[in-house]
Amino acid sequence: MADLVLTGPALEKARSQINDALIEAGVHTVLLIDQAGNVVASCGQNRKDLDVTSLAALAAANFGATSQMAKLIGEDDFSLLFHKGKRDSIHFAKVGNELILVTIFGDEVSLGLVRLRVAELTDSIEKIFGQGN
Amino acid sequence: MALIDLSKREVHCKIVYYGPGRCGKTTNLLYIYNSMNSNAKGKLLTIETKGDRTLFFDLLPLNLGKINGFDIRIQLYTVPGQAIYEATRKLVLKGVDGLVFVADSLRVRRNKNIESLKDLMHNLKEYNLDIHTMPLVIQYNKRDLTQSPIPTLTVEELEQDLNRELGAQTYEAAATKGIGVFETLKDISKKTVRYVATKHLLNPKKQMEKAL
Amino acid sequence: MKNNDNLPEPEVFTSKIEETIDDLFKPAKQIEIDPLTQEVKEVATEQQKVESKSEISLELAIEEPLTEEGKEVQQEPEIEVTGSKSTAVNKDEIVQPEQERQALEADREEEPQIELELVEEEPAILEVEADENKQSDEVLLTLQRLREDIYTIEWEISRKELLDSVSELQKIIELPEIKSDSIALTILSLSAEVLKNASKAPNEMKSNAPSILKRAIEAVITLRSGASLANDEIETVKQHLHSLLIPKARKSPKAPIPPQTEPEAHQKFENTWPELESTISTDTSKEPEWNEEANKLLLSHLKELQKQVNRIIPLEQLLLKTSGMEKLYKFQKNVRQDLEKEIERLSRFFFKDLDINLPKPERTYKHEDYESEIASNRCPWSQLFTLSINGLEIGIPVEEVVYNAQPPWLSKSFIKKTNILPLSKLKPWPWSKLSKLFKNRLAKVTESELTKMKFPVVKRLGNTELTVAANFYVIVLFNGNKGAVLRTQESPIMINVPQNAKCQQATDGSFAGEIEINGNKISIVTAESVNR
Repeated sequence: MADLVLTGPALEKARSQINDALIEAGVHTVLLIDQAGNVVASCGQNRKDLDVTSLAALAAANFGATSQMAKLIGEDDFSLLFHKGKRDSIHFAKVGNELILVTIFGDEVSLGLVRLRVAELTDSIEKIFGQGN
Repeated sequence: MALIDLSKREVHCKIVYYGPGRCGKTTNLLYIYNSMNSNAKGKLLTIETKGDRTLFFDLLPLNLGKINGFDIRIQLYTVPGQAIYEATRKLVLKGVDGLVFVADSLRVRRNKNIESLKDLMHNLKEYNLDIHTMPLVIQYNKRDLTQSPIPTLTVEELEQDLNRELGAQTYEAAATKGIGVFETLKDISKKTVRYVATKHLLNPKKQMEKAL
Repeated sequence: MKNNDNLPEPEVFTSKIEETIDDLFKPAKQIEIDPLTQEVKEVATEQQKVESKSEISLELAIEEPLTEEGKEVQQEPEIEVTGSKSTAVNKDEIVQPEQERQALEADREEEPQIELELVEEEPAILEVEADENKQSDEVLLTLQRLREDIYTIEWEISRKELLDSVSELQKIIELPEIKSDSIALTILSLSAEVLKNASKAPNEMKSNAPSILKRAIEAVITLRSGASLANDEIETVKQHLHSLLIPKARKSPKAPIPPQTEPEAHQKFENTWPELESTISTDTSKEPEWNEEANKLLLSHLKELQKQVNRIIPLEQLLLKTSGMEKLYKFQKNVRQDLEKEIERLSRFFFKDLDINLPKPERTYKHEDYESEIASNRCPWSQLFTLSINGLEIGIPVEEVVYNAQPPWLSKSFIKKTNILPLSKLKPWPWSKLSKLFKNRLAKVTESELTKMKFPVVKRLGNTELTVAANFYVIVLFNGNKGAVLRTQESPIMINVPQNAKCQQATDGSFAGEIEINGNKISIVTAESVNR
């Protein structure tokens, strides 16, 4: 697994797209993390009550675990995960091979909207990091 | 896999404490967390389980603060030691930069030590990593039990079993009492950060081109 | 690149880091961890103990022990995040969360402002909503919202979501732009029906319904945004939507389906249409056009099935007549029969005695008669080894020949005289392996088994005495059960038996039968026949 080296413009572009597509639509928080559990970018509310480090580590482990399960049942991967909470929910989507987009949203945003926006975002973010600077 | 954010000037490294079940990996982290009284540590994350065995992983983030304009963060992970958690161990090993192999000095755990080391090497191979070229420190834990009637392995025996080929730095430890814990931590942290920083700051332009 | 500037020298950098590590990574107090309970005990002063208690974390839901109530008011999504009762982490001194978070995240907050200055280009955003806003087409916007609802329903079916989407749809259908667009109107009306039914009984909603609805909405959006959509796709969408509605359509008495008056039909189809059995009733609330549509669809489906059957029949006949194609013929026949059963079943259930004019096959075959006719004429032997032996023209089925060669020099005289030939005599050298010598039925037999086997040498065929001169060939026959050895003057020649060969089988005598190819008669010799 190659070390991931990020650059300013690429990250900024990604953050900007995330803001426009999701945060503006009412999503609380979006984290772009790598599969080792590091936070690459974080957008949205700066919630004091959110332990982003732990969340990222767990999200990566969760994703990794379900990915392994997928392989066990003969699937290539599960590229999506969704956990529904009473008030808030979390949506995970793979971005390329290295990154995971974690979206935390409440009742006021429909799941359908999140799904649609995330589907577009993952494509465009993948392109950003694939192109390099 | 270290994360180097040249824009935010951050370096993240991952150190994994590996070893057979019940050898003291989590205890190491607990000790570090509870005895360190500084802003250098984050919150210790352990996933709730029925009992005291690690089911998934423990995580202790450490932050060295800003050095030469760079934020150095070290994340300590432990893996579940039991044989059935092989898949989980492999997952946690993903992106590892430095390793601490915690060996159990109890004589009855002799074979488990050896199996666990083999397991580690095997899992690393699957990520195209080689234990011989990675930062590695071996901790011989539970040395306090040599004073008790319970049969224990000698350091020579442990060396013979585990370190004959690797030639890694070793530390004798008794994690419940904190002996050897920080020595291990300091050594592996230094080795890992040195390894990562040298790799990426030596020739940054080339590295970035390669990575991208 | 700006990012390369001001990178520290590795040596200097790493030694500074090492200093910091030495500085920071050290215990501030003495503690002990109980190996059994993992409880942390301080081996500290009283003062330190007091201090530590006052610094107990006020950290949020994540840290709280997850009691029943605690779970209810949890502000986080349902992830079990931290060590709770089982570790001592919560209860003991924990660093101030505020400080820690600032230490770990402060830079992250600062940086974005600086970074923004570096951005030179406009980010390319695939923002559907931004694009849509530029358009004045309100309909498209409403359809977009509807699409989101459908996407939500796909993963999370709730009555509320369903009812919301039904009312959205009904509003859209009333719009003049939609009313004047017949394709969109049809698709959306059908979708509305599907959602209406689903909202009455969400748990009975078919599992493929959300994805069909998704497809339908995408189709309408594509059309409304001016793009073209293949007719096939439109038809498929309509058909799929219909399929979600068909069981309801058949409930109406206007459909030509016999309700309770045909107990036979009920019995026959009980297992396959259980929900129909219990719900067939005089439901007059359905509009006529659904039944017509459904019937038309069904009829066309049945006709299509029959067409396929008619295409299979000639192929099946061809396979029947071709030797060597027995298996394939049976397979094809089963396919045809299954399809015919299905046609029969569906047409009887839905159309009873109505003549629905299914397309007839070009020729009608009485399959069973034809089969036996073919079978009786068919030659069981497709390939033969033929040779002349003492004036007789004989043929041996190729699959029965396990050995065909000149005998080993050492055994020649033995084989010439003997009446019974042990297979071990065919070894060219004493140390040779028997298992390498044989094919067909003896190919996979073990060495020890082969060593035990011996077969009779055929001395007579019919009325003909078989004699053998100096140089001869040995042919060993084996059919899995019986074996025989023939000594011949010439090596046999393999032929394929043509289809027009006349064939007769015999059940006694040393011949299994006789075939005639272009006027030449060949007597068939098999392991079975020579052992009779």
